[in-house]
Amino acid sequence: MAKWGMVIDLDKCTGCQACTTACAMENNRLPGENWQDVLFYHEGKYPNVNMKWFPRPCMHCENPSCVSACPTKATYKDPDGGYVLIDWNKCIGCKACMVACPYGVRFYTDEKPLVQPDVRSVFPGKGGRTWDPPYRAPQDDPTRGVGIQPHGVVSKCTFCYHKTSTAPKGVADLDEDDPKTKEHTPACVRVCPPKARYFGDLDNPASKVNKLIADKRGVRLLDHTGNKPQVYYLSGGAGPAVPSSRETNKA
Amino acid sequence: MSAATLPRAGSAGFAIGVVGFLVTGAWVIWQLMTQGHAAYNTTSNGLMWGLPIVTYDFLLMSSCGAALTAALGIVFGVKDFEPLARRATWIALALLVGGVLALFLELGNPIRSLYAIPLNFQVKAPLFWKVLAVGVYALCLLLMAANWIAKRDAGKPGGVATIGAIAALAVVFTGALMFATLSMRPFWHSGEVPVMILVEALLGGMAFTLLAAQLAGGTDAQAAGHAARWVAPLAFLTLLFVAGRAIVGLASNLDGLQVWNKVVGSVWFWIEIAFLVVALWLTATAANRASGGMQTLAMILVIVALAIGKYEFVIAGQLVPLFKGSWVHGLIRYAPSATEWVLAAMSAFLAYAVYAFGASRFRLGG
Repeated sequence: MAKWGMVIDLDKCTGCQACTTACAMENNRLPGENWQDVLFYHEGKYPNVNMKWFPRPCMHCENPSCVSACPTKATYKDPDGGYVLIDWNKCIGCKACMVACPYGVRFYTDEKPLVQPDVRSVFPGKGGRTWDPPYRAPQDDPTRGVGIQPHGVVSKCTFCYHKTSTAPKGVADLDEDDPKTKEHTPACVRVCPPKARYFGDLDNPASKVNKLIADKRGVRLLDHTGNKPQVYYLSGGAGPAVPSSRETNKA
Repeated sequence: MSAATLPRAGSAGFAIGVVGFLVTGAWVIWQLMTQGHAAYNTTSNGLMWGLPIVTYDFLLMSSCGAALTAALGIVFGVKDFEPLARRATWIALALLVGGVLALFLELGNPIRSLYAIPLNFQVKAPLFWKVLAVGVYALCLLLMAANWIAKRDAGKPGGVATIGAIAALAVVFTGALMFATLSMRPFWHSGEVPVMILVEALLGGMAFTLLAAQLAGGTDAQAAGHAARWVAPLAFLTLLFVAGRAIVGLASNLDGLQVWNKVVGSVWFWIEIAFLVVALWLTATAANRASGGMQTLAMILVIVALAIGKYEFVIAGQLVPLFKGSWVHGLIRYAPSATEWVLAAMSAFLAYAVYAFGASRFRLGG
């Protein structure tokens, strides 16, 4: 059984948001409901301003705090692949998982739109779904949080479960440049123009993701929380560059 | 004694509670049916739990505190609380009903929660154990209501009251765990939080009980005056927790604790402190304890202060955005929507209607 993980090279990422757009199209996300996002930060004041960006999918943690918070096992760790998924048939919409996620990757369906206008009113949902976009991807697996969610549940990145879970057995990496794995590569990885993203089996010593983590000293985000993400960042040996949300006090 | 000869003072209160509940309920249901949860100002940008959860938590914790107040008299034999135990038990039931209503109107799938939580055995989740504890707690309250409060000549329900008190403690601690275990939220992540929530729950439950007893008058008010000396140390402890947490939060440079600057900069924080200080003075001095008016005021001040504190605790813990980038500048801004306020009033009216029903139907006094 693979344990899928992602490596994101921050020295390559240009913040172009192609990954965000591809994810939204692949998974029929509402505007603003970005399962995968590139977050922008700025520090300092004009003229000494430093702008940073930071790509952030779900970390699919090894020891996820969201799973421990969910009272119904709707959020669960899939041993086959190491995904953290949501069973929409069990989700009660208590949002405890959202409160317990250190990375802000979860979204509740029924609330004011994050981005106006509210396209749900333009394309109202059918069959209990929250909306019915003009183009709808064919995948639909509510027990794994794949597809368009019903009302009253939480959704998040699935590592493109519908693509990656059907990868050939034993393969070490899912690479868009390899014809055998191209269609099984997550949308955000496949479209990344500078090839800043890599996706592979963390349990396979021969995988490229493991080599990158070892050779370039990959680090995990907020490791002190104990979540142990399966997404690693390469940053030339430094930690992932996300500024503190505290304002700097002047001495 | 037949129902016809029982005190009818609560009948008007019951009518007020029912009318208030129906009016506010009609508004909330209309809003939810036309807008869904978009009628609330909660957001996936970081403020997931809004005023409905504050209302739920405040009423549920106060309910547990009332049950523990009753247990002080029934189980532990504290004389001051023996004449207040029936009223405290019924108040616990009323607050529980109001709190659960607020929760159900906040959940995305409330009906599913009734079976999905107990049947999926997520033993790692504090909320799983909390729901089990609430189930046992509610059952104990119902048994005490049916076999003790409704039957005037029945003996003390020692066994059920003991189990109910243990369940109430379990509800408080499992509920507190949901906050205290979240290492990514320093405002909540602290070992003293479960103890603080227990003290606040006991203080809230006691304040509701003593307020109701004061308003009932007669020997009930006298009993409330005697028991008020227990409120003072609890109010003092609550003040210590609030002040201690605020000082640590202001002094620390940990990312996440800067929210204390906003909390302490709010006028509501100082109202909370002032109300607790005045209530402490009113309940610590013998002369004031002998005054029904002063004690009524003290309990109202305690209840309002605790409600403000609960709002601060639940909301402020979410105000620092976690990985939202430029989607959220600075702290998250949140103010409850009109529907959220009406929902809180709806829960309060329901709790009051249930209490008033008991007050009109049964002899709740000693």
